[in-house]
Amino acid sequence: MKGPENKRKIKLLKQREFIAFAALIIIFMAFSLASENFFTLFNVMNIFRQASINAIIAVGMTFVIISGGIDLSVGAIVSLSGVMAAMVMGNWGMNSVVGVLCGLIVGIVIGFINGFVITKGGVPPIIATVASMTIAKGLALVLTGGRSVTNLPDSFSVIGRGNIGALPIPVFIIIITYVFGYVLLKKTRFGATVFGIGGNEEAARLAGTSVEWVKIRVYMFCGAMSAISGLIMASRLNSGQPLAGDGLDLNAIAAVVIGGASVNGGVGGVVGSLIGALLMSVLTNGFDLIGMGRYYQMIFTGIVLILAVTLQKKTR
Amino acid sequence: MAELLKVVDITKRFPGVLALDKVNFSLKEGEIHALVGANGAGKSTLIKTLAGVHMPDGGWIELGGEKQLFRTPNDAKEKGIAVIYQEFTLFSDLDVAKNIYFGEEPISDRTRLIDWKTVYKNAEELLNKFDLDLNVHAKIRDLSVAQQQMVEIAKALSYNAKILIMDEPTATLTIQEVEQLFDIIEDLRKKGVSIIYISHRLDEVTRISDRLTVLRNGTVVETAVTNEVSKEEIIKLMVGEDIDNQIKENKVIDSEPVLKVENLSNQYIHDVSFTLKKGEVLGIAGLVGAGRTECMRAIFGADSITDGRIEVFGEECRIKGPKDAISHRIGLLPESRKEQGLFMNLNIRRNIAMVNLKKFISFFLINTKKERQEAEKQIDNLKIKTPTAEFPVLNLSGGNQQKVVLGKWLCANSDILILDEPTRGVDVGAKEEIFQAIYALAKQDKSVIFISSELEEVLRVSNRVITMYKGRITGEFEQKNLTLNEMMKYITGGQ
Repeated sequence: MKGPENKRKIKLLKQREFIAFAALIIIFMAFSLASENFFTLFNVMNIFRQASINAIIAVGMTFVIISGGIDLSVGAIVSLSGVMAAMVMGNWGMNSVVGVLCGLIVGIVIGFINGFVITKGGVPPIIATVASMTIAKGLALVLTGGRSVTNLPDSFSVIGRGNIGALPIPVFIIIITYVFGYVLLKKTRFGATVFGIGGNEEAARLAGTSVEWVKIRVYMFCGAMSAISGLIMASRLNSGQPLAGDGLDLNAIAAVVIGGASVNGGVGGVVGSLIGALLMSVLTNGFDLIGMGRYYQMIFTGIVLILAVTLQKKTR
Repeated sequence: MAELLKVVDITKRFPGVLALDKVNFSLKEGEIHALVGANGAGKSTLIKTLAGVHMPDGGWIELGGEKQLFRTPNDAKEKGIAVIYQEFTLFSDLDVAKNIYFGEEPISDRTRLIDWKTVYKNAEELLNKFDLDLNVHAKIRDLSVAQQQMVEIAKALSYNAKILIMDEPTATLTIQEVEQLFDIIEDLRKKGVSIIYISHRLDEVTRISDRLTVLRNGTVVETAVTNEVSKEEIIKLMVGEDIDNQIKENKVIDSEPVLKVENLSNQYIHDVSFTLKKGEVLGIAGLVGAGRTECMRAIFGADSITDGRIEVFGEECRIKGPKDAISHRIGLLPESRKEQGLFMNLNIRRNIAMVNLKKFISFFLINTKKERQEAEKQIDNLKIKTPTAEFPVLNLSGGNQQKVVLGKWLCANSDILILDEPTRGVDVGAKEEIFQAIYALAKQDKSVIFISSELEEVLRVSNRVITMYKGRITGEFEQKNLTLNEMMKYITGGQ
């Protein structure tokens, strides 16, 4: 019985995740040599903290991509949920719990609409979510008049800036969402069905699964994760900003794909996505420390994305 | 009439199979020559050799007395040989004219751009010349199957095809459309086109062809003038004498019915009624397009029905989707395992467990250990050849993949197993193993519906056989009373 046990351990970092992991380690070591400020506890926590927003969206995006879909509305959900929570607290004087709940509901509702339009309306995911992205972004701008919403209670700022022991709360939330996401994807019927649908939708239908409802729930989950990121973002900025989430969609997709997921669906995992998100964050942080400008960073991040995915294709 | 095309001693080998064995065949100018034979007789291989898709391993092709070597489909096309396959090769969003001249669009000398005016003018002239009643501006997706076929024909004629090969051209046509097609074929012949016509439907073959060639197991058994042979003789030639004697008699099952279908109808099938008994293997024989798959999809709830009732274990039930069918313990092994049956991205364990995951759930979580035990049980039970249950199905052989699909339904406790072409695309050894698995299932009191295009297989594994033709049941037989000859007659439209 020793064989299977060993195999299971190796499986923890499957081949497709391994490339990303190896890249992460190499880049990490390179920056450690290049800058003495890089490999310190403070900076590593900082990397995690910076990664948190992208990483948490990526959990949701992992489900969407494995199911064979794509969600381009996550950035707009980040903005709108942050704005909504901020308005509930800052403008209407509700406490942080109500604010957080309202933010989450925004994300779940937009996710539901995405899933509904995609399954019942037969609209391709890329179109449906571009549409809801535009709508959510417009809503955020209309609600705020394009200005940031301030005057948030102190208790709210804990989410983005507080610590539990040495652990920043956003990092704590990463851990919770990833453990939850991992179990949901690997250990539940829902997760198994997501893999099935992404691998072969027709076979899943003939296996008697309710393909549509599972898909709707996938987008709701992704919306909820994006809303959590939106709340962290609003807390860190200490305000609700209608354009805070711009561009996060593509970052999340990049993280998931670097982590080994296939945009054709059926393949992927949250562990890989976390590695992908950390990799992107390490790049930003490291480049900052060695003094490379943001504009150059974008160019390099793009190149890394291409390299990572090409390597995965080659080794598969 | 002069001989236009001559095939001399063509031999074609595939790994493990001799698909064509010294085949000789000839086509005269202005002739309609039918090519008949059971599944796997070598018809497709022969036309693919003529079309330049396959290079022969031996023998040669002569055109007008000249030896030819077709390396690519283009070589054959340039020599005037056109094939219209069962699967059309049209662009559904382009119009008729654009389809006819795709890749061959005339370029204007002046602008070096496509001269669309000439495209439409030429298309119009071509269609008029051959009396094809089509609008050059119509989009392919708005056309009927018969009209799309006309476009295919026009495309072939556009590069002056002298020889037109038609593979089962009537398989998906209605009766009126078949008549229309025959008129077109007659007309083409008058205008000097020679035709090789492949069909299973003997009534059509005997009506339209001048001569016919019967293939069996890769060899030509007979070439004859159509008027001089009877349908019975053709069937005999197609089937061969020896096989019937090799097939063992299966016993008659006399137990309670588990599935009763009455007057089932929808757009594909008409008035289908039959019963399936406990522990029985019921074979369904029919040509491609006879409604076998459609009938099974209707029972399984994958397609809707317009009329009829279904009784499972003595209880009438309304099956609105696969979910209902599964809860009534019906399982379907679909026609194409890769497209519909398997999750190629997953391992054996999960593929087997997928339909009945709730069996392994405790506290919302999948108990992987229980799941693996079940998978291993099915691996043993069905003798699936794999190192572990964790092995990806992608890397299994075709026969073992089919067994995984079977295992999936056994895991879901299905008692009625519908197997739609389970032996398609698997090698001989794997076929035998699938048969053994079916026998074993029947012994365990499971009831099996077995569909195959290979009549011999149907006859071998079934206790009882139903024949279908054009969406209707044409006969029902105890296996011991049935011969291949008879079966061939009933599935080709004879009575």
